Amino acid sequence: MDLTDDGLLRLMIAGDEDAFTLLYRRRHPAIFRFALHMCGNAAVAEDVTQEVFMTLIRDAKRFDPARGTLSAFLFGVARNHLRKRWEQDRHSAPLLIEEDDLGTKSLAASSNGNGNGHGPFNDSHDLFASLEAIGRVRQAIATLPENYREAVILCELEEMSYEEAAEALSCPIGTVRSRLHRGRALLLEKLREPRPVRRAVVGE
Amino acid sequence: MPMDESSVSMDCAAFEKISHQLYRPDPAETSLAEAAMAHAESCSRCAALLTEVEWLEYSLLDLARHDANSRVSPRVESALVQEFRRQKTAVARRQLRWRLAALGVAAAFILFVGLSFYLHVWRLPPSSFAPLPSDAGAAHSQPAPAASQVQSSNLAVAAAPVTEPQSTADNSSDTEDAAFVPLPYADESATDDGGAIVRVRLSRPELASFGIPVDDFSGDEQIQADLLVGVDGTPEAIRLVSQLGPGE
Repeated sequence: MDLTDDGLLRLMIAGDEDAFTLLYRRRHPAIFRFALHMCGNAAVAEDVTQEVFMTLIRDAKRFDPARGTLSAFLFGVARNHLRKRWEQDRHSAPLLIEEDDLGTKSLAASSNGNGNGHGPFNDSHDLFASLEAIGRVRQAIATLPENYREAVILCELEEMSYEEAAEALSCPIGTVRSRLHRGRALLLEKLREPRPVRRAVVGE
Repeated sequence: MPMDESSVSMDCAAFEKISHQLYRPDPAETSLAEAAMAHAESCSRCAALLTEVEWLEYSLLDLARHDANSRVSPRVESALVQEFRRQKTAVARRQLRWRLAALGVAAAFILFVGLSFYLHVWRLPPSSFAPLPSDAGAAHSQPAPAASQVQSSNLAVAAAPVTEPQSTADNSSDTEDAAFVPLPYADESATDDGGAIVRVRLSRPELASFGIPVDDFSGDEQIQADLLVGVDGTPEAIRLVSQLGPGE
């Protein structure tokens, strides 16, 4: 049995349910994480993930192996669904990430909220290990412009090569490199800023 | 672009430009990366930037590791499997519908071809399929469509190909040819492409109308004759059966 993505897809098109299940289990975590980082809302990310695979079920023949990998195709479909979502409901545009959605405490929730510019780089040992740092980075990624955010998520969080990311984003490799560079520079700028004070959660 | 280390000039601006690529090294830029690292050792500002970049790199790795086990709830998988089954059934139903439609089209086509063939054969000149029966009884029961234009209400006709010799008259074909009398309006070329011999019963006045000399018009007697009919159904020649030898 051909267990590559293409092989599983062929079996799936032929009506093999096990092949579909295997393909879904193999590919959905990355799609879900991408959607989650892009929109910052677990429910929306879950819906988008479901829509991506619904598209695969209904219109699997849209995927052309000559144009890239199945993984890149699925990320492309996920991007389209996310954009549709944002078009439909601009209120859900990504900005602030709810801690419940991400399953981790955000920086503000776990900090004492002094917000006095205790920079992220002063005590790196604490920062590397802490959820607080993860929350801050996540928040910073969520506020990047969409193009940069996509590049950072795919190349840094999903550890895709420039080539794979270029396929997924339907753009040249050079564009991915420059977006990633710019995205990382913006991330650093955001992380240099003083920590935000979220009075609503202080004292919880 | 590969560069020799000695030829790489690195300043703070150049360092800043490549700082984010130091942890994703391109084999072609190894010497550039080495030059950048060397510059950071001698420049405190760039060293601080390098520390920040390092911190960012580890933070992103940490975040990726932290989220590596993120999973969608199981209800999504079950919803997708349900949809997959539904789609599979729908596809099977659609394929069945297509097959039935294709079968219907094929059946209609076969019917059309069969009907066309049948009509084509029906319209062929009788010479291609109707041998002249040897006995008169058979002639009475087998009317030939090609002879339908013969103006006779009391005809009993039988058709036979002109080109094919009659099985019972093989030995007397010369006699038969000689026995046919061309009709006054006959067009000889009309029988060149085929035609038929039609056996008919004619009254004396009808015989006279074909140009056969008749003495007595008063009798009701029916006289058997063969008409040589052209492809257009027009009688071209006539012979009296009584003039033929026995068995013809």
